Order: sequence, then C-alpha cells, then structure tokens
Amino acid sequence: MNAQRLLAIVCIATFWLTGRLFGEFYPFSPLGMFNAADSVASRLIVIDSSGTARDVVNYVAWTCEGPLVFKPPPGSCPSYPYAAFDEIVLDHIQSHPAGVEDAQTEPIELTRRVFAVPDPVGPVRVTDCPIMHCTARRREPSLWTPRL
Amino acid sequence: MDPKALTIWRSALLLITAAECTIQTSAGYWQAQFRPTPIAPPYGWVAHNLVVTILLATMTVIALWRFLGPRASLAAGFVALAGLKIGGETFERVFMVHHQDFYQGGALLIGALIGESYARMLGVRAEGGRLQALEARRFGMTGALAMLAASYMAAGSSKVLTGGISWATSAALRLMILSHSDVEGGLLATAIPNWAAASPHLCLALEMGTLVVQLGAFMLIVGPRARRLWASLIVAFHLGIYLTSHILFVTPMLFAAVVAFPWARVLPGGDDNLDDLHDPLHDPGEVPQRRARPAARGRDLVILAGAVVLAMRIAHGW
Repeated sequence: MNAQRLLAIVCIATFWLTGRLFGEFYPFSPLGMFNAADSVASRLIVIDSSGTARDVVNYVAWTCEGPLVFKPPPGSCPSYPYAAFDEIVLDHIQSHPAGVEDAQTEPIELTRRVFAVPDPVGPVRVTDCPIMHCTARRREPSLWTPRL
Repeated sequence: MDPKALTIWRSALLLITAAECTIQTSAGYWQAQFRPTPIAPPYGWVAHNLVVTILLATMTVIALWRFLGPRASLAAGFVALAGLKIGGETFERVFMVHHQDFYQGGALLIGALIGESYARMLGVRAEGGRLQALEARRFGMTGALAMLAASYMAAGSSKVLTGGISWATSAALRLMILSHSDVEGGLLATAIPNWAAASPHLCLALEMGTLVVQLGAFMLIVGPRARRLWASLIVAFHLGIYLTSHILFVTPMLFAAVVAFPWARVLPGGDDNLDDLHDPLHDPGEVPQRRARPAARGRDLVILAGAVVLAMRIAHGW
C-alpha cells in the first residue's frame, strides 16, 4: 500500500478508536456533542423586572440568593436533559461577581426555559421555570460579547 | 499540495495553533481565579501562576514556529505538542465544557508530527535536500488532514451510534438551535435562529446534511478535487452552525478554508499535483536526489501512533 495512504488510514483509525475506546482526553475525543435524538432541551435565561427574557451573559456584577444550583423546585418544571450551557452560566456568574462599589444593579430572576418538541416536525412547547432571585447590572449586548 | 500550497497550509496551522495556545492558556489562567477550589498540581501550577502561564504559552509558540516554520525541527514539534497538552489539560480542569473547542488543533499537530516522523522512518529526511524536505512536509500535512477528517468522522459516527440513523429525522437540530441561540439581539442573534428553528423540514435537511458532511469527511484524503469539495462543504457546515446557533469552531473552519482554496491555480507557478515533487522537471537542480516512492512500514507507523496516544493518556492522568 502507498505509504501516504497508509499514514492517512492509521491517523484516522488512531483518532477514532482512541475516542471510542478511552473517551475524552486532549486532543482525542469521540466528539459526542448533540449526538442524542432528544425531544427536550433547555437554556438558562434571565427574566428582568418587566418580564422580558434576556441573555445571562449580558449581565455582570452578580449576587444570587443561595448556592448556584440551577435546578427549579421539584415538580415545578418538565424534566430536561443535561445542558452544557449551565456550566457556561456558572463560569460567567462566578467570574462576574458584584464588587463593593457596584451600583445600578437590578433585581432579576434566573430562569430555565425548557423546549419540548415531541414531534420533530410539530410545534415547540416552551415552559419557563423560575430558579432563583439575583441582582445584576445590565450591559449592552454586543456581537462580540464573550460566551464565557 | 504543491510546494507553495504546502507552505501556506503549514503557515495556517502555525497561526491557528499558536493563537489557540495563547487563548487556551490565558483563558485557563483567568477563569481559574474564580474557581472555588484550587486546581491540583501539576496543572494547577499553570492555572494559578501567571509567570508559568506566560512561559508555557511563549515556549509553545516558539516551538510551533520552529516546527512549522522554515526550520522544520521535528524535536520542536514534540515540544510544541507537550506545551499544547499541558495547556489543554489545564483548560480542561478549569472549564467543565467547551474544552473540546481546542481539540482539533492539537489533533492536527499530532497528525503532522506522526506524518513527519513516519517520513523519517522511511528515510525521507527534512534536511536531505529540497525534494526530501518537501516530501517530509507532505507526509506531515497528509497526517494533519487525516486527523481533521477523523474528527468529523468521529462526530458523525457518535451521532449514528448514539442516536441511531433516526438521528437524521429527529428534533436534535431544532433543539440545539433553540437551546444555543440568544433570546435578545438583532437579525444575526435571534431572527435567523428563530426562523431556522421554526422550519422543521429545513432542520431535517440540515441534519441529513450534517451526517453526510461528517461521515464523508474521508473525502479530504481521497484526492485534490475531492479534498477541495469536502473542505468547502465543511466551511459551509460551520458557517451554517454559526448562523443558526452561534456555535463557532474556528480552528477546523479556518484550516478547512485554507485547504479548500485552490492555491496552485492562484499562485504563479503552482501546480496542484502531489506527484509533481517526483518530477525532475519540477526542479532540475535536484534530479540526483530523486527518490522512488518509499515503501510503507505499517507496523512501525502503528507503534508510533500508539506511543503518541499513550503519552497523551499518561499525561491526562497526572
């Protein structure tokens, strides 16, 4: 067999088999994101005092009641699978805490928005599940607002 | 993959991995400050120490330059891989998700290293004259391209093995769009994702397209025309994902764009023919060094690839 063809086959097999057999470790991975054929997903959002839905990353100087556990009270929300975005929200809130001199914060409600699509070509059912009260300061959304 | 295109591919890989290394290492250091519990050594030494972070990023970028730049030092390539590995493991311990964003750059570098090491095993040495140097680099870029193809094939096969072939007719894409797109903003932020999520048949078509592009990524190593076609499809695939759900995999998209572009037709004197390097008319001054195609040594190649995987796995356990 041609040496370069063999090289290509061995490289492909190495990446693929390592990811499948051993899971994730830099830089190998089965790259299993979005691989489940789920019918439910969710996203953490902010509901401001006027009842408008906002993006979490557009708020800074966070103070929240209680620990940052993003689970709605039992029985108040449809079940939903793991959402990787929760970790991004956790990183964002932890890395943008309120400082002593932070003013102009407003009361907001951290909310889980659950999307259910029982029929792949049918309508989307949206349910908002309040999680916790926080205060934070709004910053203007930007195309380049970091997602961390 | 003519000599000029080869240089552009290597330069692109250098710029991409250098930028990736800098972003990954500095983001790991920055976010680690806010972790409620400290990161354990040895990766904690990087995550909690600015000087170590800067030294690691600097050393890695210099090593990348020495490997992918004109010097083409294979030893420097392995130093660069070690630097990327330390940065990657540190990042993974700080960030719970999205650490895979940087995996493909590391995989491309491993492919280039395995390719050039394999070339040496076959007696093709980078310091053995211009033709041999080009041949060694061609092996490196073949390895990198194969790793890029493998990453898409892994993603596609994960979907089929987990969700079944019915993944292509599920609501997976609609839900991905809905759960990843912003709830406020202008046309780019909300209108396009909302329109896509409200178009189930479009999403079903995109799901089938996703499987075709990912599972068919082996086309990247079939030949020049197939490579350009599939690299263009990969760029379109990533642009589509970004427009609909704001998920952007920069590294593979940029590298695919570089691979998709017909450099040989644009650059003067270029010729997109792999066998051109063996043509004495291509560089008459090098005729005495013309070589026959090296024979494959499959067992050595498998051992080499296995050793790299083992080293990466051991370092993961630290």
